[in-house]
Amino acid sequence: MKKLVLAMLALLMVLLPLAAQATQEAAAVKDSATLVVAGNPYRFFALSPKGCGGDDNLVLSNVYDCLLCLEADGTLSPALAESYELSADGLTYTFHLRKGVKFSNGAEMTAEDVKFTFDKGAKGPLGQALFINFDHCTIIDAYTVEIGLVSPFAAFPGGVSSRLGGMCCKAYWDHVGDEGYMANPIGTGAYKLVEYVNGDHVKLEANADHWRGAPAIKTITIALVADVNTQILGLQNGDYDVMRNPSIEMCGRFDTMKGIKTSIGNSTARVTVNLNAWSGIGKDLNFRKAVQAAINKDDINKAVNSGAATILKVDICPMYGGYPDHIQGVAYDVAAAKAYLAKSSYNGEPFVITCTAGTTYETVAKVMQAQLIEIGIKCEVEAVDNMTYEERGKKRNFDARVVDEASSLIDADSIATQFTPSRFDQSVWYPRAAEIYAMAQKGRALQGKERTDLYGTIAQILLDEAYTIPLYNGINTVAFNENLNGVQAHCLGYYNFRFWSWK
Amino acid sequence: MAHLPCFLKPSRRRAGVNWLKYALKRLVLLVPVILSVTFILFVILSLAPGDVARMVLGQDATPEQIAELNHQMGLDRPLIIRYVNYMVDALKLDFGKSWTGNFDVLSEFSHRLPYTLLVSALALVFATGLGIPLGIASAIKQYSLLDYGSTFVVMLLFSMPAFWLGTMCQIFFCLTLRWLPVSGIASWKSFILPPIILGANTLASMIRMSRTSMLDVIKMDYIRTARAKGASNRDVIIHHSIRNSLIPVVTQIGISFAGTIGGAVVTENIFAIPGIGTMLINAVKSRDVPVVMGTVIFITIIVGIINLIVDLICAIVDPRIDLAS
Repeated sequence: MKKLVLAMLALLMVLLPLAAQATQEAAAVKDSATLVVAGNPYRFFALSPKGCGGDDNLVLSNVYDCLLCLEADGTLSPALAESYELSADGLTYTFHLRKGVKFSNGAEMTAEDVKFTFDKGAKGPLGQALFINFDHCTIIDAYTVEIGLVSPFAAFPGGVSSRLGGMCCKAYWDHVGDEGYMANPIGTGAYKLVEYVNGDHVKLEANADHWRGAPAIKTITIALVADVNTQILGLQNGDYDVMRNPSIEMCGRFDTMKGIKTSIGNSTARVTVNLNAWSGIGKDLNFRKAVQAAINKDDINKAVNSGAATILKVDICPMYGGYPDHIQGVAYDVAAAKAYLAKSSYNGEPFVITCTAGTTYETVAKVMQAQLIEIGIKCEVEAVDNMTYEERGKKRNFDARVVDEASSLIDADSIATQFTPSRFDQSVWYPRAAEIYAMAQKGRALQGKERTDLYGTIAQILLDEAYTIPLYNGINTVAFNENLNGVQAHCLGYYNFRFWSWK
Repeated sequence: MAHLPCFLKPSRRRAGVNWLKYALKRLVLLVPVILSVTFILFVILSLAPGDVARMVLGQDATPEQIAELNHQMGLDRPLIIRYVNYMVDALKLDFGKSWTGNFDVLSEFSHRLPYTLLVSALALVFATGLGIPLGIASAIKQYSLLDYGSTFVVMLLFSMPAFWLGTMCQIFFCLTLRWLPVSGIASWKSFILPPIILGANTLASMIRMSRTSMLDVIKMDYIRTARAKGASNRDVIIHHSIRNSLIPVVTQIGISFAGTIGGAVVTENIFAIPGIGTMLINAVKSRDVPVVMGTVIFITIIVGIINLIVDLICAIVDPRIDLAS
């Protein structure tokens, strides 16, 4: 008995200091914040031959500024360029640079850096997608540049505000090259990269000389945590202040908890289903239309997003430039679906929906599976890892594929992504792909109603041919400590730390 | 000869030479193991679907840019040539750079290995420090409340998967009590829960193994003889039973340590510890061949050395084991 009491006392003496320290840490004043994400940003120089990806934006969007800034709702505002003009023929953009903007190494940003950024960026792996139709950049004077296009493109400013448009310092690059720039990135952004531990965290420090003024939060830590449960628990107990992309269901639960708020917004991504139209039963238009009519998008939206997402009528998000709001989508109609199926040459062979495993798209696929089985299609779901999924997509080796198609340019031009000749083997291509691609290329040069009408025509072709079934507009979510101001879901998933401040 | 220091006595020198020969033989035998494992792995990774260059550059890269990156990575060469080139470089301790990260494989592994080893070692200390005494006590007090209690604990620990136990402990200790951080490596408190979770299964094995082994030993004739000669219960247990009962336990410790290094993947994932487990999983997902190959080679060597050490310790504990044969 005596030994037991002594053992318990010893245990208490060990545990009490732990509890005391926890209370002390909670009371400390905060001039820092921690964002927790799954993923691993590591490419901190968008102009490198290896390009950059989605996770890298967490750092890129804060270390670099662009000529134009993409706001959370998808609109553009002046940034490093105070203003710009477009020539009457739509071929030349003239940007007037803000004076006195400095890189974090003290060098002043001038037209030379702009020219360097555009010339190098256009040649890289992202140039074709983000600097569409770019031809040349000409220095007019130290604070004025002209960017010339080979042909007009209404969404070119979107590319200017993208991750590829972050201004880089030419003199610094001349000194350190691609590898050196990647290791120690220099930008004009509100934050500087001060520490990167692969697989663990990234630390950013406020740039006190930022042209917008020093940010309120001095230190931002991006914690890299793969396990979603750990992220949730960490947000709840205060280890983390902001959590990227919690599920809609989790957002609902966070909203009932004290101390945590959420923000939900439309993303630039659209979730669609691509149907095979070049081989097997996919070549049968009646079969494709049967699948199209059998899909109840509301049920999918409820299952995946608790109904929070916007249903898409066409394969273009409403926020995209050139969105044709006059086109009506295909209604859910089981009777019509069965009628199409009866007219088709379907013989009961399995119809496989491919998706990435462990994601919400697997849920999309399973709900679709149930809907297709209801009309008499023997449907299976094949959930594969990301690499296999991409490989199948590239080789067009699928019956149907759930796709998350994002658009960095926030423009209807992205409707042509699936029909770009360089992307896929020409022998496994949509029958009218060349026609659609040619129309999309033409659409780049148009403006106003003419442009909207043309994209409307493209969208109608996709509906008539049932090449794709648009489901819903993607959503971005963020959960955060209620005492942290300025946190907002951004359409491209950016986090602009310069807006954050503690109450 | 009687005046020679013990380590220079012929019998000791012979034993020392035997140990050295045995150790060298075991290390040499690691080479075909490493070659077999790496070749099989290399083939599997090379044949797995996925275009690494396209994944790195993105969907909008031109075919020329993808071909250029494939060429830089050496992916346009035949599989055998690539494997041979890789192993030749590996002999020169050049394990290459990650294809999907911006790091050198050897230096990244060196940076991450201490975390995995620390968590694994702490897990082992936890499991053996608690498991062996508990197992021995259960055997000595067979059919008592302690014995039944420890059996129950063993069943519980075997039944609970690490990912579930880890999350439950996070909810209780981190969220409810707020005593410990949820994840990371920021402070010493971050290294309390992960070893406990990682070592839970090993703890159950230790309790069971120690109990079984001890029960076998205390039923032996020489133990009965010792008691008959008047040795106290304490002397019987400490001087006669424990050392003999530890022989299988020592073997189990070695196997468990190797197992915890492999099993650290789940724990590292839950607690966001930047160890080699998470590095390996991410590399496999992204078909990052240099990282996978390098990590597997290092792990094979580490496990091989651990097994060797365990065998040598067994030889010390059990004088019946003759390394020369």
